[in-house]
Amino acid sequence: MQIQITIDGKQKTWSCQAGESLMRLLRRQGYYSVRYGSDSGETGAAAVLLDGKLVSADVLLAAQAHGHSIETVEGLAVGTHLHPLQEAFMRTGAIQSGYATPATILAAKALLDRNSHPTEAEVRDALSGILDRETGYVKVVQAVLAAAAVLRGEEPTAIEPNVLPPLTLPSPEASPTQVVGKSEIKVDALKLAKGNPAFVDDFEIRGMIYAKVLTSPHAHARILDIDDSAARALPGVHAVLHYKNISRRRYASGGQTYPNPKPHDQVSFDNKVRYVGDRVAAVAAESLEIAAEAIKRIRVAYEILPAVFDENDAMQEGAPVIHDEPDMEGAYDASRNISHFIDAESGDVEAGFAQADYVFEHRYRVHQVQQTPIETHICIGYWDADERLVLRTSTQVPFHVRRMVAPLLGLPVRRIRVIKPRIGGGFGAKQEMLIEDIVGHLVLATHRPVRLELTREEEFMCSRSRHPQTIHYKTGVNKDGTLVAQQMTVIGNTGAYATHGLTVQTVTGLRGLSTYNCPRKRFECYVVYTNIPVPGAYRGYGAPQALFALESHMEEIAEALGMDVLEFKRKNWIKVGDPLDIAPQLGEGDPDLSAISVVASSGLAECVAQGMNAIGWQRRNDPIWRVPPDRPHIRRGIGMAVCMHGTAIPGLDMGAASIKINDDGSFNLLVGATDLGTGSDTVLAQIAAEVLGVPLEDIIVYSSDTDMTPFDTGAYASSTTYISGTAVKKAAEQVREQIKERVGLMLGLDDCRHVELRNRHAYISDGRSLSLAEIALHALHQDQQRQIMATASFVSPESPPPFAGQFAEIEVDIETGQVTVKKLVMAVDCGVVINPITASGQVEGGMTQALGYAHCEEMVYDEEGRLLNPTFGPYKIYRADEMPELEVFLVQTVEPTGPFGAKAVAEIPKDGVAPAMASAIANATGVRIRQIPFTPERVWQALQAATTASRDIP
Amino acid sequence: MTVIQTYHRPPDVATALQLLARDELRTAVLAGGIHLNAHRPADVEEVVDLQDLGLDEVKRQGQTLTVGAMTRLQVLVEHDDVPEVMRLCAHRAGPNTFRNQGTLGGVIVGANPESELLAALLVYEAEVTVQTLAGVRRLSLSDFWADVPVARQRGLLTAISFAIDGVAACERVARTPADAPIVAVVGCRRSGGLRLAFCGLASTPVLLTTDEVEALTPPADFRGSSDYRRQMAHILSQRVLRQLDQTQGA
Repeated sequence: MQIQITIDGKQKTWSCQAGESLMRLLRRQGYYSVRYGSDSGETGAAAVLLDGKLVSADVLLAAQAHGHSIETVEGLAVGTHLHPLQEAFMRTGAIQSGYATPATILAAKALLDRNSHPTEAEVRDALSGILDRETGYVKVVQAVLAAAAVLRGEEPTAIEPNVLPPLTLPSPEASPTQVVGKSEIKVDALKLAKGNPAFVDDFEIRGMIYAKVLTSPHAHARILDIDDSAARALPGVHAVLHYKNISRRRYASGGQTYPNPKPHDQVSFDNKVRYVGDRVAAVAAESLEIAAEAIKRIRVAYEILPAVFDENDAMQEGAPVIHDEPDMEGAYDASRNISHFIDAESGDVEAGFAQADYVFEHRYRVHQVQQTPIETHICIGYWDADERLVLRTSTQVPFHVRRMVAPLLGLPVRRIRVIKPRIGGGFGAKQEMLIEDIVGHLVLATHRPVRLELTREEEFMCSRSRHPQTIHYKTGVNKDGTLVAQQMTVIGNTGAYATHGLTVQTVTGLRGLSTYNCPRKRFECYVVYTNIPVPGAYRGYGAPQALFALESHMEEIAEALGMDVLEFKRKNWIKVGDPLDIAPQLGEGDPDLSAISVVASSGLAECVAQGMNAIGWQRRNDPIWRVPPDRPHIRRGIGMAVCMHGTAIPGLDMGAASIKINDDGSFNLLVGATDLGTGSDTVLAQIAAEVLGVPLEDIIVYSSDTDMTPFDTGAYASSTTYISGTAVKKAAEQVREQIKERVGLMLGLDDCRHVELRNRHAYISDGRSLSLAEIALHALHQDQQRQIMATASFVSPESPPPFAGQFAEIEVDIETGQVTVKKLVMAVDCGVVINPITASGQVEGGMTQALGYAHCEEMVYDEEGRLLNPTFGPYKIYRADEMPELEVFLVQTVEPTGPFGAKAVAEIPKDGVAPAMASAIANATGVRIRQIPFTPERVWQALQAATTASRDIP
Repeated sequence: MTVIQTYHRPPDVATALQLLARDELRTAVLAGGIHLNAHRPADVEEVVDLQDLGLDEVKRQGQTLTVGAMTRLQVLVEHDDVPEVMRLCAHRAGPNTFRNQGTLGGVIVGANPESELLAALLVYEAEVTVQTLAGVRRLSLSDFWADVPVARQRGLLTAISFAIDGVAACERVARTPADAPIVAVVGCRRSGGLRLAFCGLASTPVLLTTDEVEALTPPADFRGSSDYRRQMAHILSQRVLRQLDQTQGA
């Protein structure tokens, strides 16, 4: 059928199918700012203005829009003049991945078009239809209010995050920085604010066909046979792949450094399925509709097997054996579903328990949640003119993907090129070689470009998630509150495949036994297979689980000892100069080396002081505040948690960078590091600009492409600023030396050591100067020509910990169990802050994800292992109009091993909200809840049990 | 993915009814379109879009408001004649994208058990107008939901009338402030008496007395067991009753 619409002021007549959604039509017509987040409207990533009103184009038929007017972000900018909203979003740091930024800007425009003086609540209501997994909404709201002011003709207000001056002084020779430490606008902000084609799905290739995966309806079953004849007979189907026609090559899908930890317990297509959502077969066809129909026509004969979902049950005698395949190897005990057993001890823990005045034991349970990037997994693969496989994919680990996918496809690494364009969020879900092998197999089978995009439901079921764990702490402590011995025992649930099972659980031990000094520590852990969808890497990587248990356990000990919680924690927490003693036993650093790493920088005490002040800590002990007289069923509480994380994996994470000069004195910065919305490209460019004495705009960043950019392990483990940043700094310093030499050549200097680069010039101590453009032209064209260029890499023996204090103010409805979070405060020591806006944005967004983990997000299954809530809504993530107040402080220390003194910031915000909420609930009600999330019925049950227990006391 | 072959946008109700009355084609009504687009029922071959039927008028007659079935939820949120509690409940029906597109008729047909807006309509004694080729019928909401779906397909929900006088209050328990409620209670006291409507206790929002709640075994899900839901219904209804007493006292 034909429809007529006015789009961005232009009359259009377009053909569409009767059932086609407006989103699909607009994307087909090149309006790439309208993006896929789901097919059911809940993400809002596809929102457009229909007659001035915000609607989700994924739940509107194109035909419904016939005769109406549509606005997209593509129509907002006039020539080079951006709309004030676009400018404000760039300036305030409201853009992280930028995937849903166009929709968010339209939501704001719809509001400002009818209300020039909106309140914050009105702004939040206007944004309620766009889910944001990245910013925590703080800077988005600031951007809308700032744009409203500009549209009213007022001066834009400067918004600066709370950055405290460094607690420790940089070295005396360090000069003040020009670019580092400034809230520079993100280098990719413009294209994201304009909705330019930047993501995987924004590029089209002629002849592209569409892939779809048949997934298992059973939690555990053997595939007896597959009959694909009806699927193959369907016109438009190009390939149907499964275990009968793809050779069996074992791998582990976690995006990790070579060699990937064993067991290698996956194959591209197996004759067994181990969770509901596991791969059975894949189809490539001329259209998604045909591919979906072909999937339905594949006949699979299953022998359904008993399944097990709980990690404790899975280890028991007689439990179904999930990996019973004959070629399974490398698991600790596959017959008991144990993929790994970890046992690490520093000091004699049993002796410590024997001599301690008291021994306390508590058990905690943490659950499974999903990363839910708004851009789902998507990969487009094609066979290029050189007959090499190109994979454009939304990944955090392009180099790992290239290396890992090659043997599965039977191609040498040299015949594979992996391109990572902009990514719409990852949070660890994309630290995985998840769908690239399927796309590769289909390209090889068809020699056609193949596109595979997961639906939202598939993203929930078939990608990755956070490991559930049962955690047991046992701590020996003396009467004065000194820790004597501490043991942490964990049973981690790695689902159907081990992928990140070993390393996530190892980090749980590391983080669970590092925050507090104790002479005897032991970590014992079983990593267990079950039939739930596969946990993997998720921002925090085992630490949020550990810190919920650790911080709760420490508070319970303090309460039992009758000590002030903070005093007890402060007495024991790790301080500058204290050893990171369990780390070598857990694979970080060399256990044979006598020198154990020590903490070189810590602003923890200051973080806690700032947080206490901002949350109003003293109200914790005010009975009138805690029990408001006018609301008898409400109890208020304040809680806190101490957080400590790591910065990169020492000795493993490697980043590299290349920098070359251009004719005009600008520089290309080529990095393998993968900015997934965090702003790491910007931070890396700031580091280069600082060293080279140029403004940020003179650094053109390209990331990442395995053909073009040097190796980088990828975006994970809070490593990019520290590892890739140091690589960039080293490369820039080498380029700076080459520039100085060139200056010496041009000016006939004997000694170039005192040449200084600033303001796009090289200055000599006698007052003479040359512009970088003159230097570049001389080097490239005029005399002794050479490309000024350097590559450097960096791997660190250290993993300097960032520290933080996380605070929460909550209300508990003691009659319903409903917990309402009123305010979250986080003060973070991430070393010297390279970019205050992107750093504080990381903290706000991370805290919001952590709030979901603590409060309302959970993956829930029926008895057959089917996920009951694979959509937003039932799977609840916070919306703009229900957020608590967030406040962030960046407490600066100078980390001697970090670039310009920086440490990590990306993951630590995930660590403290759950324990701080547990602490606040205990403060409000006197009841300690040892399981998250704090959903109403769980809290109500705990309150009921406590009431019953106290009634039973004679 | 879709089998929708034909899209109709009839100019009047009579044409719409004729399109819906055809036996040979599986035809669905398209109001806002959210539900149909999100769920894509495999058996729908044709859709009939109601946007040109003029069913979006809001008319007040005394203490009764009649709202066209195609009225967008956001219109209810912003309309001065709509009782405040109903406006609040309409606001809670979903985020702004949903309220801008979703219609009151669509919400009624959807019969979502967690819809506080439907609970509010129940306590304000809403009646729906259903047009068929045979004529016009007026039904209470519960009768409309109890009506066999086949009969409803052949007819068209065109308008909703409800009272706007009396005092009302609502209470809820949910995981987060903007989440769908696990249990919610809307109460209204009018000259005709007290009505309490409950969400989260049955397959649709239901009118119940407090005694009836005690005898109920609500369906459980992961957010709330049957026992928890019943207990919450009790606690929240007591709160609603207290609020109604206070409002009336004031």
